[in-house]
Amino acid sequence: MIEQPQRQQLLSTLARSTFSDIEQHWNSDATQHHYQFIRKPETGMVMAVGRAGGNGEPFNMGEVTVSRCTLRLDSGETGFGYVRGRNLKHAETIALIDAISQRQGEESLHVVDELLPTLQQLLQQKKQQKQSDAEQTRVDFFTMVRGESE
Amino acid sequence: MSSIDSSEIQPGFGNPVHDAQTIFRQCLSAMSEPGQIEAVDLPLITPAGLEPSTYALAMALFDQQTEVLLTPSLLNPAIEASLRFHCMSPIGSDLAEADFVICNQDERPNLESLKPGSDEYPDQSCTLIIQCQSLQQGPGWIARGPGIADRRPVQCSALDSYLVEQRREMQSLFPLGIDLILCSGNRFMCLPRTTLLEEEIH
Repeated sequence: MIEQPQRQQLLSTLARSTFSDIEQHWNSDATQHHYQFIRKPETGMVMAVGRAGGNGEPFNMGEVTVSRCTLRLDSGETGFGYVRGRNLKHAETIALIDAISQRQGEESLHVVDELLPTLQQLLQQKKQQKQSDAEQTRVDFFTMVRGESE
Repeated sequence: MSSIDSSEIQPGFGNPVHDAQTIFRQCLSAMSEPGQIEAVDLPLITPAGLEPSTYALAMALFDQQTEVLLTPSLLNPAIEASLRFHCMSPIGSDLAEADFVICNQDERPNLESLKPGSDEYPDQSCTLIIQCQSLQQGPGWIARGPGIADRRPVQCSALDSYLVEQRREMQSLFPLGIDLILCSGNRFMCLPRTTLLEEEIH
């Protein structure tokens, strides 16, 4: 059974990972699980709120497309999935993994001990890759002192 | 706002947009033809205590701007969680503030205690949803008024003479007033504020 801080991490990681990464590293077949929808996968918009410089007054930055889904496994656990974009399958898969992580047993352990760290690592790698790509184009400005002719 | 227990939430509409539009259209028909019975034809799993018709109407009509009041016997975690999850409605406790009140027939609040709207906005009145045992048995009345060609017989277990008398007294407030929706099983009918109920003449 997953604890709340870890569940938050899991949902955040699943929402930021690509759908293909989740599919590839989750060793479970979605079709083998039986569940009913509490809220069928649907796409809508949420208002993203930003702060200039990270500490200014909050302002409405723009609307972001978000897909969400809520389902309940036949064993009773309820899972929620929210993800940026229009991939309904992605939202459904997140909700399913969330529900499974609340169970006792092997499937839940796989999610928490294997899937979560793997996806976190992939995200970390991607972040580093992006940083090093950006680093290459870095320009260092320095003040040129007008040479006083000797 | 306190958190809700996710295990209590019951499934919503199978096809949210289409189903909500269907129910809204049925409600519109029922309101414009008072006393006409509409049947909800959707497979719904309802939270314990709510009739399928009540649950369908709730999901079609309620949103985050409508304050909903549940009378004590309906104030259970399943109903509260489902309405808050699917409709995002605030669940209130003040009868005079509520936009919708859902009650069972035996817990009906006084119509005078509900919000009748204001002269500027008579539409901002309370709609009372009564869950009753039957729309075919019980006291019978003759309905007249807008939407009824001549007169239409209505029968409902919740329509006792006390309620009919209260409605009659509130007619002087027109255009303010309370609209009623009577639900039983998967069927419902509406009695808007304009409908007059008279005793059957035998």
